[in-house]
Amino acid sequence: MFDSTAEPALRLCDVEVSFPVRRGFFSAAGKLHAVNKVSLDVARGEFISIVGESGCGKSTLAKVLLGLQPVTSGTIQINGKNLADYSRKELAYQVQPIFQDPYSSLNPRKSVAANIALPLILSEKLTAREIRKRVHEIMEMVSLPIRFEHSYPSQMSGGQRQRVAIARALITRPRILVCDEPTSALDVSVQAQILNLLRDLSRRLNLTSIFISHDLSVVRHLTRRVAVMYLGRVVELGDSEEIFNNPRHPYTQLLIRSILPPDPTYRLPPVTWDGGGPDPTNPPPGCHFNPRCPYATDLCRTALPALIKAGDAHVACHAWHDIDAWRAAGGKTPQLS
Amino acid sequence: MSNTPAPLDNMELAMPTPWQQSWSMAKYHLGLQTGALIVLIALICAVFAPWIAPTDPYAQDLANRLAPTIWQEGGSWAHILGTDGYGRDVFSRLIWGTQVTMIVGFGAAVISGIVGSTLGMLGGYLGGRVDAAVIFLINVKLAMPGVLIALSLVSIFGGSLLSITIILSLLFWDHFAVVTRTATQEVRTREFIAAAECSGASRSWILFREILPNITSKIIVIGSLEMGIAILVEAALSFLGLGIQPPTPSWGILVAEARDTMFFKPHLIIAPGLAIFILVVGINLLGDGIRDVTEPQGRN
Repeated sequence: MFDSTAEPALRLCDVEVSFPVRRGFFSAAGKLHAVNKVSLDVARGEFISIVGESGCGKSTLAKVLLGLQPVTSGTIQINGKNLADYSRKELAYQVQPIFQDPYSSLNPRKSVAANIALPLILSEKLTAREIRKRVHEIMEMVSLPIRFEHSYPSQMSGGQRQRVAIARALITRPRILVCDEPTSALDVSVQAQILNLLRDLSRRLNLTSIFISHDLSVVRHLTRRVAVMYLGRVVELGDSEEIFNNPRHPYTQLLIRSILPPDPTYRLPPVTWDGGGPDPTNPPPGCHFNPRCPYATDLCRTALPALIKAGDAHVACHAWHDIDAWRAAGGKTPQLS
Repeated sequence: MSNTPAPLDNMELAMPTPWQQSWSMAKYHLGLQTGALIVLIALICAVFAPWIAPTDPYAQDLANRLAPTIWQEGGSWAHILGTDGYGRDVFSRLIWGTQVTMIVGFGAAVISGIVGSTLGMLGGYLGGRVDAAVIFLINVKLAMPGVLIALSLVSIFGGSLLSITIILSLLFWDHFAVVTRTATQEVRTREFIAAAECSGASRSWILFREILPNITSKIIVIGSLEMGIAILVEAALSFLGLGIQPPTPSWGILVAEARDTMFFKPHLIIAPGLAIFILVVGINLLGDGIRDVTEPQGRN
C-alpha cells in the first residue's frame, strides 16, 4: 500500500510546543509542554492514528501540522521541505484539516457550495464556472447530492455537514489530511459512514492521513499504525494489531482496558489504578506516567525513558521487558491502592 | 470491502434557508412590522418632504400667527396643525423636521457603527496589544461624561447638520465596539475560522468575509438603538439651543419654540414631542424585531 523506504510524507523531529502559563499574579511564568520532543515519520499514503486522553497534546500536534501553531523547537518536514518554508497557500495544497465539530467548522452564513469552494477561491484564480465544476466533482466524490449546493449548513444533519467539511478539505487535492477527532461529534450510526468514506478516499487519492482520536475501537479498525501519546510525549508506537494485542506500555494497557464493549451485560471496565491525571504544567520527574503506574520503580521516578524498540513496536518505558515477561507468565495487572 | 455509503438522495431538506426562516418569522412579528411601518413613513417624509409638505416651512405669515388646528374652531385645511408664533405652517415644519432627524439619527448610527465595529472586530480578532488598545479606548470613552462633551463640542464647532452628526457619532461608537468585540471573540474560536486560516485566508478576508456576516445582525440591532438615542440627543441639543440652529426645522427646535406658548397652544409642543416619541419607539421595535428574526439562538 505504501513504500516505507521512500522519503516520508511527513517527518517530525523533536517537535516541542510549550505555552507560558501563570498560575498566580506574582508567581513566575511556568511552561506547559503540550507537545514534548515528538519524533515521528509518516510514509506516503499511510493512515496513522494518534491516540491519548484529553490534554495529552494530540490536538496541539494537529494544529502544528496545519501550521496554525508555531513550534517552540524541533522541525517538521512535509515531502522533504520544512513546514516553515512553505507559504500559507502552498501549505494549503499539502495539508488540509477535518475538524471535530461539523456544527462549528462550516460558516453558517455561507451556502454549502461557498463553504466547499473556500480553499479554491483563496488560492486559485478560477472563473465561477470552473469553481462550480470542481465543487460538483468533489461533492460527488463525498456522496453529497448536487442539489445541496445552495443549502445552508443549518439545514443539514451532522453527517452531511461532515461530508461538506471533507469536500472542502479535499477540493485542493492535498497530500495530507489531518483529522482531529472527525467523528466524535456524530451519532454512532453516522460515524461508521464518515469513517468508511475517509478510509476509501484516503486509498483512492493516496492520501496520507493523520487520524487523531480517543476512540480506540475506531482506531483499531481504521488504521495500521498507532502512536499513543501521554502528557505531550509519544509513549508507544507501532502497528495497531501489535499494540492492541500486545500493549507494552502500562498506559497503553490502561487505555485498552478502558474500551467499552457493546455488551449491555458487561460492567464498567475495572480501571482502578488511576491516581488522577497529573498537572501538565508540573509533570512528575522521571517517567511522566510513574504516579499512575503500578510497575513504577525508582528508576522510573528519576529518569525519563526514551522511545526504544521493543519487539515489533517502539515503547518509552524502562520496565517494558519485565512487564512483558510478567504478563507472558500469566501475571495479573496489579491494582494501585 | 468498499463500504461507501449510499447516496443521500432519499433525504429531504426539511429546513428552510436562514433567510427564509427569518422571513417567515418576520411575517408574524407584529413589533417588527409596526416598527418597520413607522420607520418607512418617516423615511418617506424625509425623502419626499418638498412634495409632501403643503407649504414652505420657512414662509412666515405674521398676519396669521398661532392659527388654530383643523379640529379647532376656525381651523382650515391650509394649516392642518395650525401655525406657530411666526405664522409658519407647523405641519410642513414637522415634515421637514423628519429630514433633519433622520439624517442626524441615521448618519450618527452609521458613522459610529463603522468606527465602533471596526475597532471592536480588530480588538476581538487580533487580541493582544491591539485588543488592549481597543479596551483602553472604550474605557476612556465610558469614563467621559458624554452629553457634557457633546455640549462643549457643539458650542465650539457650531450646530450645523454635519457637525451635529459627527459629534453624536463620537458619542455612541463604544456600544458598537463592546458588542462586536465580544461577538468576534466568540466567532473566531469556531473551527471554520481555523479552516479558512488553513487555506491561506488573509486577515482581512477572515474579518470581512468570515466573521462580519456572522455578526451583522448584532450590528444592525445596536445601530437601531443608537439611532433612537441619537435622535433623542439631537432633539435635546436643539431644544437647548445648541443643536441645529433655527430657523431650520428640527423636532427639537419645534419643541423649543413652542415653549412660550405651551399653556395656551399645547398642540405646538405635543406634535413634535409625539413625533419624536413615535419614531424612537418605531426604531426600537424594528431593531428588536430584527434581532428576534435573525439571531439563531433566539429561535425555537
